[in-house]
Amino acid sequence: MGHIRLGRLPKTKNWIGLFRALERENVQVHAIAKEASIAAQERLATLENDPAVNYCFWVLVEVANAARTDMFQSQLEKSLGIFLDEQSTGAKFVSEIATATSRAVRDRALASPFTHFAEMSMREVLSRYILESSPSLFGSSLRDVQFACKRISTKKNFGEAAKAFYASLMAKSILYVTDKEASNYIGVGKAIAGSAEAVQFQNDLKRYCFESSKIIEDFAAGWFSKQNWKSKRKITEQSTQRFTSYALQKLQMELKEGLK
Amino acid sequence: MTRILVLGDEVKWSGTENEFDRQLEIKTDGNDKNLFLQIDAFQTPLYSDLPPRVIDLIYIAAYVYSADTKISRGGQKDVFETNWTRTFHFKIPVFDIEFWGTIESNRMLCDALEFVSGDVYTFEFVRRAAREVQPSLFSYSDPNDSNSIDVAICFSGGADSLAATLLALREERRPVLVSHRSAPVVNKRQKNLVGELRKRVSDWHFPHSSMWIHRKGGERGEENTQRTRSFLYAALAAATASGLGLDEIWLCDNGVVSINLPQSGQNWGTLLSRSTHPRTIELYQTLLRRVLDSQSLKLLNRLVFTTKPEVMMLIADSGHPELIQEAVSCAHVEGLTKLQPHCGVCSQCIDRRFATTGSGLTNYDLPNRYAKDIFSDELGKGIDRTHVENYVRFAKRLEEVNSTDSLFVEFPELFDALPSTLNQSQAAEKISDLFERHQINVNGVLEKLIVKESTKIRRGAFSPDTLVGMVASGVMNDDPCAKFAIRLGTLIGNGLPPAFQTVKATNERHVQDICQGLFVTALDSLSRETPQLPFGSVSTKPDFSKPFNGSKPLFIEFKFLRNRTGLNKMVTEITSRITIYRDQGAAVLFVVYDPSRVIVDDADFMASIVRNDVYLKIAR
Repeated sequence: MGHIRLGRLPKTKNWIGLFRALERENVQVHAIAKEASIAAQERLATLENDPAVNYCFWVLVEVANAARTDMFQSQLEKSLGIFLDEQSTGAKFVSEIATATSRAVRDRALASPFTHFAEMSMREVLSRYILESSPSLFGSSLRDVQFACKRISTKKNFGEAAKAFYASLMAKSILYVTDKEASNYIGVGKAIAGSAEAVQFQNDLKRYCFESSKIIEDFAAGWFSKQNWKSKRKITEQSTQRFTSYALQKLQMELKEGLK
Repeated sequence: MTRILVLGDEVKWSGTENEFDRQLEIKTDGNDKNLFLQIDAFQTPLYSDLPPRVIDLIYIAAYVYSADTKISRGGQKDVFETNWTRTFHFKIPVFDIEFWGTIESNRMLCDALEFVSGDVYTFEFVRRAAREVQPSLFSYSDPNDSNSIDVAICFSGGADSLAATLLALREERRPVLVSHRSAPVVNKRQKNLVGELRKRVSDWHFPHSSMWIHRKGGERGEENTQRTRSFLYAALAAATASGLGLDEIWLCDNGVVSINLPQSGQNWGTLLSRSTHPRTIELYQTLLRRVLDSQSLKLLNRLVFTTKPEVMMLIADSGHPELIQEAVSCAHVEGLTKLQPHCGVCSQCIDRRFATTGSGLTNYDLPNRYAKDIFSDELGKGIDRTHVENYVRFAKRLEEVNSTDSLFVEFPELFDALPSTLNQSQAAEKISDLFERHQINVNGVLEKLIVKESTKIRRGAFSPDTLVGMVASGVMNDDPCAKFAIRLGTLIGNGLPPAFQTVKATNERHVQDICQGLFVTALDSLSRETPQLPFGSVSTKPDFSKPFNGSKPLFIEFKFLRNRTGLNKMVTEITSRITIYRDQGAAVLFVVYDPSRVIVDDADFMASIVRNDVYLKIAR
């Protein structure tokens, strides 16, 4: 009973730049990112005020701040509605956050590819941080989880986490539109020489988006530190909205500009 | 966002109409009924005692399924899938309003449906009058041995439900098979497969409980994704379990399809079906336990840690591998024949081909049973090609994952597949092993394909639009001339036919002129009619040529094949040109424009021409 629904891009003026970038003999990641961001700019611009995307980012803020308190579990129960016990592993933590976030996202906006990508990006960032601080997602203790989340709460690391979140969201968004047509340009003698090169292309695109998100890193670090000072570590979902708008705006401008 | 009001049977809407974009009235009774709903085939007196809320469950599932197939999720032009998620408000009648009206029941129902479909659901219930029950909904006959039945298995007629049935027999279980019949062709397939089982297995008679649920009155559905069909299956199986006092239901599909990870960047959410996803199974079980008032009820996907090749081996190991060809896995129902029941290019067919090929069972799953053979046919631009390419790319991505942890980071969707109560670590290891075995099979099949086609690959005598063309890059030599010849052939193959759509080609020179235009727009320029080459006492020149640093030059020759009589002459010309050009140490690409399909067998023709440094492209 398993099925996969696929879509294609229309051959309209709006998308012609992306088609051309895919037709080039050696596909260039920055050109694809540029053309995709230009073609999808109207839709991507709506994400700046998307409450579901903002919520996923706010979860990172909340988790980081909760980890600095002595009441990590009860704080997360209160703000995110998740229940953790002392036996909870990193995987349990992420899956609890994932379930609660899906529910919260559903309350804020209808499911869309971009809200889905925001959820996945948030899971990705949390998992990576936990893995960096513990041997495994499944072997880690709640203490390890709190330690990992606490690492996000420093000014510098929060900047990195925010950068990773928005870079992942943007890479997924660009791949989302590009992959509607990419298969037609994969094969010997085509723009992408084969499936191995297609995987490489995906990885390169992620890396390119990560590099392009540099602009967010410093700003996020400063913003987090200032907001925490002003709110006494109680940054609200509403107050992250302006940051989300700014970050997405800047990132799109970077991608639309292409290689400098 | 599309907001839809769904009214069941005689229910009326008293609210404001402009709250909704569309209104659906689903009627299961009366002269104007538009939903046909009937159980037959396997009946027992026990069914007469079905609790009202179980009958309600079937009606709810039928209403949901009907609305699901009636409202479009948007077409391919909807680039950002803005219409994918629909918002349904159901106002429908139930017998047990005290049960369905509770917040808890309502929440469980919505949670299950929202996860499996990705839509938004709200329900409003009104009391159903007793007279509204169709007498034909449950009509009875007399099975002799309903007492020995111990498990209900959802039976779609595909390979996975067949394997689950055979697994049950291996474990000495006595299953009743439960089916949803949506169309006569589906009904025939299911009945045929049950018949084949009965013929081969003597110690069980495979009782089959089957229910017709389909739209009536000539209305066609606007949406064929049917994400809620598994809920209908679960409801029918629950009714069967309730009637027969069973506490186990199997809703099975192999693990890779059940978890259905994104194969490419464009896959998200329920664009990948979640019919038997571990979370779906968990949510259905929670709801069914409440409806059947039985905490011991188990809803299981027994194949959740099994790959498709292992499913095929399960069937083969039963001693009846020939049953594989009786099971139809294709996602398409319409437009296929009895002899070729598989389209070959939907995700299900692709998975099945790789599974039977990888497990050495192709004798029981013949390529000619597929309308398209992904291992040899060309895959032109479009959805079919995307399915195949995404499938092999996904296997390549999996190959690069080196641990369970990194699998979860790379595919964070997997956190949804972890059980909420059981040992997550154990489940994660099993999931990781499952995908590892999957990629080994897929990549193994691809490696065998490359070995099989190695001669063609070495000669560059294959189309880049075949599966080999998508995966052979790693084994292709790096000769820039060979790469250019293949790329140029593809360009001409794609560009020539539309260029002659309005005005037909008049002669060979006309074809060359058009191609020169294509080269200019898409490639760096080629030299036309140079260099002069000695040939006996005269000289000749190729139509186009391109030099390469550190490699032989490429000459390009065009041939325009107008009719059958020109074929022999053209072959003679090609043969002599090969001699001239090879003497010059050049490679040659022949482009044969054959709009009238004079060449009957492309593969044969190619085999007679293509050799080292000789390339051929037939364009139409």
